[in-house]
Amino acid sequence: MAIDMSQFFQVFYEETAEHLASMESLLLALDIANPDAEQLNAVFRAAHSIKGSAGTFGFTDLAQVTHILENLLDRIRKGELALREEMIDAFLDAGDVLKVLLAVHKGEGEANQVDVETICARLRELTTSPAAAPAAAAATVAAVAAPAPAAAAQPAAGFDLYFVLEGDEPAVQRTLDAVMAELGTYGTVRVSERPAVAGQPWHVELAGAADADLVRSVLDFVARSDSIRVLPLGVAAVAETAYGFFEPQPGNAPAPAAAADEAYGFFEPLPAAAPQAQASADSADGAYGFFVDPAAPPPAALPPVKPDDGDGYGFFVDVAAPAAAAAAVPAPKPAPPVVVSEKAEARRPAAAAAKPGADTSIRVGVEKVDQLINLVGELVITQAMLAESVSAVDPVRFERLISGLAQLERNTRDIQESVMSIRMMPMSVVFSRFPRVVRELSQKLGKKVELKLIGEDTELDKGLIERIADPLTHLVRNSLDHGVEMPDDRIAKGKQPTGTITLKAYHQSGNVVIEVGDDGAGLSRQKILAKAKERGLPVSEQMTDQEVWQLIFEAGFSTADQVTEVSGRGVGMDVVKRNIGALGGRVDIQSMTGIGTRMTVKLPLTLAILDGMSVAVGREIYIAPLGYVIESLQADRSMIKSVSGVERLIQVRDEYLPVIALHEIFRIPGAVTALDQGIMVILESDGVKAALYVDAMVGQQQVVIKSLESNYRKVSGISGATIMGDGHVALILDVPALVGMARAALPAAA
Amino acid sequence: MAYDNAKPQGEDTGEGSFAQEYLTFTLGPEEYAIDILKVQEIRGYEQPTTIANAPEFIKGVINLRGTIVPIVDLRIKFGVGVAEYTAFTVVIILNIGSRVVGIVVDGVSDVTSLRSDQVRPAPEFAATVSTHYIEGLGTLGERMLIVVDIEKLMLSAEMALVDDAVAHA
Repeated sequence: MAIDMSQFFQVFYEETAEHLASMESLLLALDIANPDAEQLNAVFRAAHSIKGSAGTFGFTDLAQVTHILENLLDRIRKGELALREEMIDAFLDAGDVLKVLLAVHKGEGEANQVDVETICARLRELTTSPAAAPAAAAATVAAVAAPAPAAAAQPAAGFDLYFVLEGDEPAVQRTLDAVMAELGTYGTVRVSERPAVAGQPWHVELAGAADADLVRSVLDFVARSDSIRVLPLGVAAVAETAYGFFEPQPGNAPAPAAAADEAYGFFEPLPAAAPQAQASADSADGAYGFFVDPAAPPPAALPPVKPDDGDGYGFFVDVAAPAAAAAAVPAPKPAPPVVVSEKAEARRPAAAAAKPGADTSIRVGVEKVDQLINLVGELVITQAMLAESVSAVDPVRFERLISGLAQLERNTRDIQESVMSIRMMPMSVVFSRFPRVVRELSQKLGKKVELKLIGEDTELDKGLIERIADPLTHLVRNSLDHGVEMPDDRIAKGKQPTGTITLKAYHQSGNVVIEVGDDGAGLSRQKILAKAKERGLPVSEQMTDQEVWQLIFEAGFSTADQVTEVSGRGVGMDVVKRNIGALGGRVDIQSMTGIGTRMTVKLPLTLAILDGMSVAVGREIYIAPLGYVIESLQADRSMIKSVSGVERLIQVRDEYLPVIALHEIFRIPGAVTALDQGIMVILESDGVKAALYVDAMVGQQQVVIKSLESNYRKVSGISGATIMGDGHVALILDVPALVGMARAALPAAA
Repeated sequence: MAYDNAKPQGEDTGEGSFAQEYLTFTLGPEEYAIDILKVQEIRGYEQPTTIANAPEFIKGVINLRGTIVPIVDLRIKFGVGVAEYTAFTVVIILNIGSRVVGIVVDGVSDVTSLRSDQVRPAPEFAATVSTHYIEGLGTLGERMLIVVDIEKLMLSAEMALVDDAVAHA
């Protein structure tokens, strides 16, 4: 019974993509001069996990690259190599190569073997070049131990495998069968020792040439990961005799028993046997310090670990050290324990960190969530229908019905909120890509830029998150290219040579606001106006700054003096504006010459639900999104002002606002036409106010947005449709378009 | 009743290899036939929500179990029959590509099988609707069925049901 691996492929793809992403963000966060050990470990763990699972699934190309990557990382985190800028670059590039390889396995795109080779060579070079010295030193010191590691470095003819299987008897047997079948593909397997008690390790002999990593990764899948030991065949015997050598030593007697249990426990008694080594370990800073202490003999035991890989867990050291010890003095013996305990400790936090995540989240297809959201939408409508029908009944006789429905309403609302929150994702999902973008672009442009990310926890609908990433990237690139000046220019202007780009996300009255700010040169009003005139756009010197800035969103508009690789071709900003507009959002620009520019993207929280105010015109009901409504009032005769004989303005306090008569724009028959009879709803969009004239206000409610375009087409002045409590369709007003219409409609109406 | 009528027609087709099933409906005195596979359901007329500035033949949109569906009155569009709405007015809900559209007709007659040799190409003639959308004229005894390519018609710019981009695609 072989394990069917294909069912895990999808999980592997997703997990690997996540590991790559986290690796990238960790790398970018690393302080090169003074790297944080925990961060390095985290990067290492990510690479290690990718390697492990890639090996398991037989994606050898992925495993190869990660293997080399991991070796380098391992040396860095052990402090053997100093972290350098070019290493980070190499790591990032390696990450890209891995992404490509992953895509290839998914059946997307094609692998470029040259890239793979190049990155492997680059990583190898980084790994080996400064490493020659310690290796040579090791060779001389470890002369006694030499035969053993030499044997270990060769592909072993087989392995002794120790692992603990968890679960009840039948489960263990099933797992074992699967493991045996899987291992059977590498060679001949034989169970040489069954555990007497559950929780004790199994001992399995595997004869045949196989990669220790591959074998390990098979076991990783089923056995308790900290219990797995992979030893070259026959070595166990050597180790046993070696241990036997020390057995008579005081305090060491229980050790072999513990050895079967787990490596960690086994070595614990040893320091007692060699108090002198214990002392030196204590005096040093920990495991690392122990090895670099030139006075201590153990370095002899350390090097053999290196030629193999970071995955060895010091097992080969077991072999080397006891052998060396047997031949020389007992003193070097404590070395392997330290190696193992360090490894074990390094692995434990990893497992601990991975666990909570694995237990508290599940992967669900987006379409399932969307279906749920749609169904809840229907539920909300049904509930509203019920509420409306019950409003006509006698509240005394049907008291229980009415209170039951009130309860239903609360429950429905709660369900709706929780379901909507499933789709919410933090902005950090998008923001996390920018450190890399900024880093590479600034290198390319020769600019110094610091990126500040604020409000990464701000949550936004998943659909929006996915679609906002590209426009935001464009804005960031734009700020970097056009906004931030070259270091020399900045110094000449009396600024810090390093520019700052700030990405900030926050909630504001039912919207999510994302700001992309830079402290660069700012937009030049003259340049934009000149360019606009050149392009034949209708501009004048009287335009407000706000209007001038909006010109850069015109298609083909660029004020960059020269076209660069990054931007300047004038394509893009119009696309940005259009894309954001399609999401129901808008972009505003604030800019001051010499101080900087800030692009503000305002998006609705979600695409699915809207707080609306229902208004009646004639026999129709329309929904005005509440976010745009400032106030409603009934106009007094004296407030209505006429211009060229047509009543087109209303005076609200000290402002004159254009009146948008909905019944005129939509040609609705039977509406109230006298402006002082109906209701004026004051709307604000884009900083422009207008009064929407309707017959009456009906109520305020949450509505589920339905697309009008999926079966019909875009209607100007209408942004969508919804289903009301009585099952009828009501149209949702497109307030920004209506406010725009008010201006355009003025001359036509007059 | 519609089903009973359909059966003998189906037998007439013999092998049936070139026969296609059509839903026939009436607009005033005229009989039309459309591909049955495009029909999702037939339902009674309900007052739709009117859409501002839409052409006269687009009556508005209705809520069809949570979906917003536009309703077209073919009688107005084709200029036949009297556009009045009674309890017996019928709406045929069509499934065209990924879109759902309703058409108002005077009445649904039956489901008919037509062999390809029973459908003659339509001659060029002036009509309120371009003959472009008429696949042919079917003959069933004395009856003449106007076979309409309803998909082409509904997605045409003329019907104003879709954005230009979609219409050209």
